[in-house]
Amino acid sequence: MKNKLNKEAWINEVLDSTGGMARATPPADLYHKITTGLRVDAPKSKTIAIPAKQWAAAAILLLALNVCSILYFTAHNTTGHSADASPLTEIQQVSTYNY
Amino acid sequence: MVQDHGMAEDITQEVFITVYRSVLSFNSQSSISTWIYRITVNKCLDHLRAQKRQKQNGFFRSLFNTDAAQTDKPHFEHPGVLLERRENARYLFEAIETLPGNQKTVFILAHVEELPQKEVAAIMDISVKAVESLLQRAKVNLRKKLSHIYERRKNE
Repeated sequence: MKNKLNKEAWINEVLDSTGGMARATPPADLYHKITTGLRVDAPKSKTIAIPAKQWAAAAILLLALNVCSILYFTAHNTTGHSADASPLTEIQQVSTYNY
Repeated sequence: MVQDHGMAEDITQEVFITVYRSVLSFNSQSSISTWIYRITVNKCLDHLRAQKRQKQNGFFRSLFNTDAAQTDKPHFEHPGVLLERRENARYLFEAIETLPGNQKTVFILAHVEELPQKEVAAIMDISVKAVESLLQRAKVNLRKKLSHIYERRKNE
């Protein structure tokens, strides 16, 4: 009987042995380990490589657009030779030059 | 939970990295401490599962290789335990190590960390009743294990 009481008392003591326990403190180098891990794991900025063919295609397209624009504005802005110019417009233009 | 200083440091690093990466997705449904506890518990369980797999592989290897070293885990000593209770705490952690995963987690959070049962339930994403039940079963199992340890000590 006494043995059983001793055993139960011992078990209760063991179960309560973590009472008043302090929190574990981290070792000094753990902060450095964590910050190193954060730097290593940081997502790297993505650079998208554009192949040379796509660069060439874009350049040709831009050039074509520029040529078309030049041709279009040249055709529409030539004084007196414009197909859209009406006689009234020509008279107005002449009159503007008379100061 | 893992009863290994090196593993605890590795897990601490992983937890901080996960918190840093996932903080924007934290939806404030629980407190931030609960959220961090949950990440930590899951990482501990992942590491313990991986360790168990390694042990099983090691066991099979040792069947074919007589030179394979069988390493027994040394008894764990928590650095925060009061000096006069260190020996008893060692036996307690030895007994805790034999508990199934959920019972171990609940006992450590509720009894060792002394968290309220409501918070333990939130961390483990289970009901308070489930926490009470797991804690009760954990204590019954611990008493059985400590009873064996008591007999072993008496015979030494």
